[in-house]
Amino acid sequence: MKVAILDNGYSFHHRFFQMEEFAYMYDDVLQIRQLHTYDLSQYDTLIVNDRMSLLLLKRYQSYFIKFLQEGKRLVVFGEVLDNWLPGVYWENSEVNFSWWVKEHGDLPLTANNIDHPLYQYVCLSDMKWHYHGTFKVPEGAKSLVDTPDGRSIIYIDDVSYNGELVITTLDPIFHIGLGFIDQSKPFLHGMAKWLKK
Amino acid sequence: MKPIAYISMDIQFTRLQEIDYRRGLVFLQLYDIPYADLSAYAGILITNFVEEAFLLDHKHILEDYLNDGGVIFSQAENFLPWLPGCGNWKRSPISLRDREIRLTEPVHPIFYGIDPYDLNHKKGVRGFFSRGYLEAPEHSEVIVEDQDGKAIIYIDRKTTGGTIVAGAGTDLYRFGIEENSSRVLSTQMLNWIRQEYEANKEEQK
Repeated sequence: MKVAILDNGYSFHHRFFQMEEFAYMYDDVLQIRQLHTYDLSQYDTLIVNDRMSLLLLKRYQSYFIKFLQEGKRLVVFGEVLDNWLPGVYWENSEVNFSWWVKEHGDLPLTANNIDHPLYQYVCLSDMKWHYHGTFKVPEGAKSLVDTPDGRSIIYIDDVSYNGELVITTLDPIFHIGLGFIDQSKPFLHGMAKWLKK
Repeated sequence: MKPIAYISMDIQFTRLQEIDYRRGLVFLQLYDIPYADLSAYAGILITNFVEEAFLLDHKHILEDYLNDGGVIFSQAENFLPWLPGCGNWKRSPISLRDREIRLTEPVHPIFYGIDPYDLNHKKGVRGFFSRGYLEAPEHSEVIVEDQDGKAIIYIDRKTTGGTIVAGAGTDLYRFGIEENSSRVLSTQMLNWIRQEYEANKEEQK
């Protein structure tokens, strides 16, 4: 299982890639501005990192679609604006980042499809810090965590493409790279272990 | 009124709204820097959402703008030397829970009327304003620091012919989202940049 991850050259990406703790998660780091220079056929999984330039995601849109259609696994963290990945229905959310400092505060989320193998590596509380958007889940795809309005913050779609799309509105690498909200680490470790198995 | 450029990648966090445009802010895609004429701007904000290697490759454009009396306000946690005179951002050893953001005296006009509590907390959560510090050049003016005296924002009028404001933290322009004293931060920041630019231009005459 060979995994590549995209780098957009942000300071928080750089600091994440310097962390030994997560080095097992990927085999190669690819600079998105040079994506046309890599041979993506050697990878089984491609991870689209947090907060990537929408300009560049749109520039290389056909690469991502081709990767999926070749039966590979595409993992997407963060926002899907401007339809850079067709078939994904993102809506911005008001961000509740302060629920945990309030007495009896909560971020209501529900686990779904708990028989999915990813749940052998993560639990609902690992995915609970905040989110910046939600998805409408395509027919046949499996949401793993639902919001109260019936939308999803993470789902897996192996019916819309020849390959498998793993997509979440969670932004663990951004926070780990910043050193702000370390609660996102258990989720990323769980995801990494599942991806590498 | 000359606009102020907001240089960033285009992502969810950085999209400007109508109110920002009304204040004279203009979005400038990072990758368009080589094709832009920066003299069109009375100031430049640079967010933390930038590809630093690209900025380093085009450092001369920023230097030319500064040497022409320009004002650059960086909000990046630098790991490459693309901003003249500015070393790399360092993570503070003080936990976010215990770290205190302090305004130096006399309080800089950007922070007039702002309660430091409102900089240290956003809806009760600490850590948004800054998680690290910069080594301020000797000739610079530190306007925000932590309890160890580490520089969080400094102003450097000596390294180039213009003004560099380097902030070791978050997007200051967007910080004041709550109904508290930090609300005025965005407009005070833009007003001060314009005044600084005018003063630099006046000095050049």
